[in-house]
Amino acid sequence: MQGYEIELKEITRRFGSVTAVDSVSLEVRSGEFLTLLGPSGCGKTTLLRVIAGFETPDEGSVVLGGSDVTLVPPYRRNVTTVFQHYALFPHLDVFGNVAFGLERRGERRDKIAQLVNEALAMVRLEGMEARKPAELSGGQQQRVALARALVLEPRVLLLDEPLAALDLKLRKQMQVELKRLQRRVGISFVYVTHDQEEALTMSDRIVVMNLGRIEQTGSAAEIYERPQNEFVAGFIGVSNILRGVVESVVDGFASIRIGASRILVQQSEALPDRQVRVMIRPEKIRFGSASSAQPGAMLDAKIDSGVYLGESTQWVVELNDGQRLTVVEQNDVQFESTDGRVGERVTIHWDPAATLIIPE
Amino acid sequence: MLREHNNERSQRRGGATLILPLVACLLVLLIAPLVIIIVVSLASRGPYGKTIYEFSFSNYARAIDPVYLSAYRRTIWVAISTTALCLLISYPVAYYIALRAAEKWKRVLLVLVVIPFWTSFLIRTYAWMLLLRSEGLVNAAFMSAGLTGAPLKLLYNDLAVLVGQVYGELPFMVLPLYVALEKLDVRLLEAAEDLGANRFWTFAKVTLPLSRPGLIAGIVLVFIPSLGAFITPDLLGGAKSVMIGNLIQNQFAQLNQPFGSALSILLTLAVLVLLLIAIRSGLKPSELA
Repeated sequence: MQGYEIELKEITRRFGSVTAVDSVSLEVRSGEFLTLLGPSGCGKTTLLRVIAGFETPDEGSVVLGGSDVTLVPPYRRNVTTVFQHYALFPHLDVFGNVAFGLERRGERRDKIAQLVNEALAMVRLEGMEARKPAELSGGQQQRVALARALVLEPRVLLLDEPLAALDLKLRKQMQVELKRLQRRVGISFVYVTHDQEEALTMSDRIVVMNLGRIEQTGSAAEIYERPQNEFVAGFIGVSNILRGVVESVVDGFASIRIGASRILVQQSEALPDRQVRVMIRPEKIRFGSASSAQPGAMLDAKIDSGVYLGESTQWVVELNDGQRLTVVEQNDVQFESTDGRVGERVTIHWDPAATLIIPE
Repeated sequence: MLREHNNERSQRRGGATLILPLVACLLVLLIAPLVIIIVVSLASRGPYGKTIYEFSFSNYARAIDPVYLSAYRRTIWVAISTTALCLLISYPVAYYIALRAAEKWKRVLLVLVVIPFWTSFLIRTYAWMLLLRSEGLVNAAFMSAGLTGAPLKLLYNDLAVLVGQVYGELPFMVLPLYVALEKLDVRLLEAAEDLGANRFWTFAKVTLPLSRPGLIAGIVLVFIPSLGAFITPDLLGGAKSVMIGNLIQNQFAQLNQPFGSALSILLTLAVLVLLLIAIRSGLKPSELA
C-alpha cells in the first residue's frame, strides 16, 4: 500500500437518524492536493473530522501511513488541521500559537525558535511574533493557523474551508499561495470547500460529495468535462441538459432526437429508444451555422434573453420544442445591447465531442 | 437652532438631576459612615465606654500590639485556606456545568448552586452546628458505621470554622468560574488536541489560562469577605478561634468604639490594597457584579 498517506475504508458516520457519511472509501496519495467538494451538509466536513480523529466512524476504518488509527485520539495522529475560524489561542501571541505543538513535543527552546521563525517566514509573517491574534487581519490569522499546523510537519494537512471568511480578492490571492505552499512543502493537503471555483483552481484531484456519498473523483478537467451524473454536472459550473430519445448508434455516435431535430453524441453504449439526457457546457456552444460545423451538431433556436457580464454575455435561447439552453459568448467585438437581439432566430452549433450523455 | 441648543442644555440638566439620587445614596450610605468611622477611630475611649474626641493615632498603634497577632494570623490562614478549598471544589463543579452538562440540566444545576442564598447565612451556620456537634448527624453516622467509638470533637475548633466558611463562600467561586468557562470556545480545545495536546496539556495551556478572569473574580469574591468573617468563627469556632471580624465585633460590644473603628479602617485598607493588586493582575470591576 505504498504511496497512500490515508486510506478510508467504507467509513460510515451517523448522527441520530441522519447518516452524514455513508460507506465512503477514499485514498489520499502522497503529496497531492485533494479537495472534498460538495454542498453544505454533504458530509465533507464530517469526513475531514473522521480523518483528524474528532469523529469516530460507526463503521469502517481509517488507515494513516499504513497503520490503523480508527480509534487513536487526535493528539496522537500525525495530521494537523487548519480550522474554518482558525481557532487561534487568544491568550497566546503569534509565536506562542505556532510554538504550541512544538512545546508539547518537548523540543529544545532554540530549536522551537528556529522552527517557528522558519514557519512564519514561509507564510510571510516575519516580525509579527509578538502580536496577539486579535491584532491581526483575517488573512494574517489565516497564515498563523497555517504556520501553526505546518510547523509540526504532519503527514497530511487538513483544511476545513479555510478561506470562507476572507473577502473575494484575498481569497483568490490565498488560493494561489496555498497551492504554491503545498508544492513547496510536498505534504498531502485534504481541502474541504463548497466553492467549486476554489476546487478547480487548486486541486490535483477533486472528490465531489453529496448526501454523504462520493459522486465522482477525478482531476478538475475530468470533473468539469466528463461529469458522471447530473448532480456533478449541475454542481460544477453551469451545464445545459437536453432531454431526447436515442434513435440509433452508429460508429460510436448516437443519434438523438430532440423535438423535430436530430443531434449526434459521442457514445457507444446507449440503447435505441432510450430516454437520455445530453449535457453541453454553455461556453462550448457557438452562434451561426459555421460551414465547419458537422451535421448533427446544429440546432435552430430563438434568443430569449441576455445578460451582459463584461468579458462575456450569457444568452438564454429557446429550441423549437421549448427546451432552453444557456450560451456564453465572448465579447470579442464592441458590444451594443442585449435587447436588440431578443427574439432573433439563430442557429447554434458545437463540437460533437463536447457533448456527453448523462446516465439516468 | 436656538431651540436645539436649549434642548441640549435642558437635557444635560435632566441628566444631572437623574444622577442625584445615586450621589445622595453614596453620600449617605457609604461616604458618611466611612468619615464617621475614621473620625471615631482617631478618638479614644473614656471611662464607662464614653467616646472622648481627643484625636490621636494611639488606636492604630495599639492595633499592632503582638496580643492581636494570633487573630491576624488566623484570619489570613482561614481566608487563604477557604479560598484554596473553594477553588479546588468549585473548578470541577463549574467546569462540569459549563462544558459537560446537558443543556437542559445547566439551569437546574445553577439554581442548585444558588438555592442556599434563600436562607439566612446565620441559620445555615446554626444548621452546621447541628450537624457537627457531638450528638450531631455526622457523629451519629460515623458511630453507627463503626468508624469511631466515641463522638469526635468536630465543633468549636478552627477546622469547623473552615468548613463553615468554605460552605458559605462556595457559590461565590462557582458562579464567576462558570461564567468564564461558559464563554470558552470549545473549538480551541479541539485545536489544542489537533496540535498534539492531551487532555492534561490542553487544560493547563488553554482552559486554565482562558478562565483566568473567572479565577481572579472568584478569588476576590471569596478571599475578601473571608477576611471580615465573624459569624462562622463566633458560632463554629472555639474560644481561641478569634478572627479580625470577632475582634472588631468585641470592641463595639465592649463599648470601645474608637479601637474597633481603627481596626475596621485597617481591614478596609488591606482589602483596598488587595483589590488594587487584583485589578492590576487583570480583574475588571464589572466581573464582580
